[in-house]
Amino acid sequence: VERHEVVYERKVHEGRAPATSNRAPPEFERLYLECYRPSVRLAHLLTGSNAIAEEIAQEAFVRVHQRYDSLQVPAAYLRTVVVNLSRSHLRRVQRERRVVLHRTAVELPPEIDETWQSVVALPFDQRAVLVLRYYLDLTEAEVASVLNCRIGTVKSRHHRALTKLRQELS
Amino acid sequence: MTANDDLEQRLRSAFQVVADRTEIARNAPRARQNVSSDDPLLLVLDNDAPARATRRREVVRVAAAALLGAAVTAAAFLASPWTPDRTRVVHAPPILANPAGNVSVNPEIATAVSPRPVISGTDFAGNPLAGADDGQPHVLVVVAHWCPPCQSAVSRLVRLHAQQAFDGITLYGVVSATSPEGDNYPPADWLERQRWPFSTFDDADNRIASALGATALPFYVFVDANGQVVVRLAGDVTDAQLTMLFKALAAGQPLPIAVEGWVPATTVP
Repeated sequence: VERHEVVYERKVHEGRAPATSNRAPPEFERLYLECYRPSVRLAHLLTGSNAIAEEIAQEAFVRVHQRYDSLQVPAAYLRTVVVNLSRSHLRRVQRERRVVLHRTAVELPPEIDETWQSVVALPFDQRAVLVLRYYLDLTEAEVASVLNCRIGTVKSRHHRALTKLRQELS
Repeated sequence: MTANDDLEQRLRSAFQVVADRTEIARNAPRARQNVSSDDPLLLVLDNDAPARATRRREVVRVAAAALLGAAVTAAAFLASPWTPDRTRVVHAPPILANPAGNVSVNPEIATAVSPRPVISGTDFAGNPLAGADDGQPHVLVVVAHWCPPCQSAVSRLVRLHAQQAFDGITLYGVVSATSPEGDNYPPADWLERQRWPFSTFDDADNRIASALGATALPFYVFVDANGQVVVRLAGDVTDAQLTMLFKALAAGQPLPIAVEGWVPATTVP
C-alpha cells in the first residue's frame, strides 16, 4: 500500500472573532460603541468579577455579531447573552473547583461593601433577579423574559434573595 | 420607609457604586456623553455616532491575527521533520479554537506523522477505552459539540451506520474542545440524543485531537490494518465521499482516492 499523509482543508469552522471575518455593519459598530461599557458593568454585577466582565462582554458582542441580521432588538439580545454567559462562567468555575466566585477587586465604602458581598454570596439566579430589577430597573415580566423563566419563578427568587439578605445584613 | 424599601435602596446604591467603579480597559469604546437612558442596554442609538475608533481597532485586530497566523505557520514548517521516504504534507496552522475565542496552539501537531500515535482515554462514563490496536482498519472522528459542521457530520455518520457503510471498519468518536458555553452541552447527552452508536473518547482537554493532528473540525483520521495513518482530512465531507473512503479502507486499497470537490492542502512530494 502506497502511503500518503494528506490533510484536506475544505472548511475551517467559523466560530472566530467577528471582526476578522467580514466588515461589521455600521449599526453593529454603533451598538458596540454605546453598549460595550454598560455590558461590562452588567457582567461585573452578575459575576462579581471585574476581571472576567470584559471577556464576557466581548464574547457577547461576538455572539450578537454572528446573528446580527436576524435580530429584532439587538440590545435586548445582547443583554440576555451577557446574563447567560455570566451564568455559564460561574457554572464552569464551580465545576472546575477553582474558586466559587471572584471577589471584586474594586475599593468600596464599608456599607456598600457589606451589601455587595452579601449579594455576591447569593446563588446566581437570585443575584441576577436583583441586578436586573434594581440595576437595570426591569419589570418582573422583563426579568422573566431575560432569564427565560416564569414570572412566578422571578417572584420567588426575588423573595428568597431579599429574605436572605435581610438576615445577612441585620 | 419600610424595611423592604430600605433594603431595595441599599441594593440600588450598591449596584450603582460597583457599576461606576467597574474598571474597563482605557481603549474600550465610550458612549457619547449626551446619550442618556434609564436602561443602559436599551439605549436609543444615535445615527451620527462616530465609528472611527471601532474601525481602527478592527484594522489592528485583523493585522494581529494575520501576523499570528503567519508566525504559527512558519514555526510549524520549521519544526516538521523531513521524511523523504513518504509523501509529507505541510498542513494548516495547528490551531483549535473554542466558541469563547480561546486558541490553543500545540507545536507537537506539526510533527505528527504515521504510524498512528498511541492514544488512550476514557468514555464519558470514565471507563477506559481500548486504543483500537486490534489490527482492524478504523476511523477516528474528532468533533466538538458546538461546531455546526460537526453536528451535521454526526447525523451523517449515524445515518451511514444505519446503512451499514462501515462493514469491516470500526469507527471511534473523539469529542474535543468541550465548552459549557457551546450548543449541545454536555456532549454525552447530545450524542445520546443523536443515537450515536460508536465508542467515543471524552477529549475535553484536546489531548487526543492534538496527538492526531486535528487542524479543523470535524477531523477524520483513517488508519489501516497495519496501524498506519493513511488519510487525514478535515471539514464537511459528503455521504458519497465518506462511503467511498470507508469501502477502500475496508478493502485495503490505496488511499487517498481522488474525490471530486476536495482540494488537498499544500503537499510536499
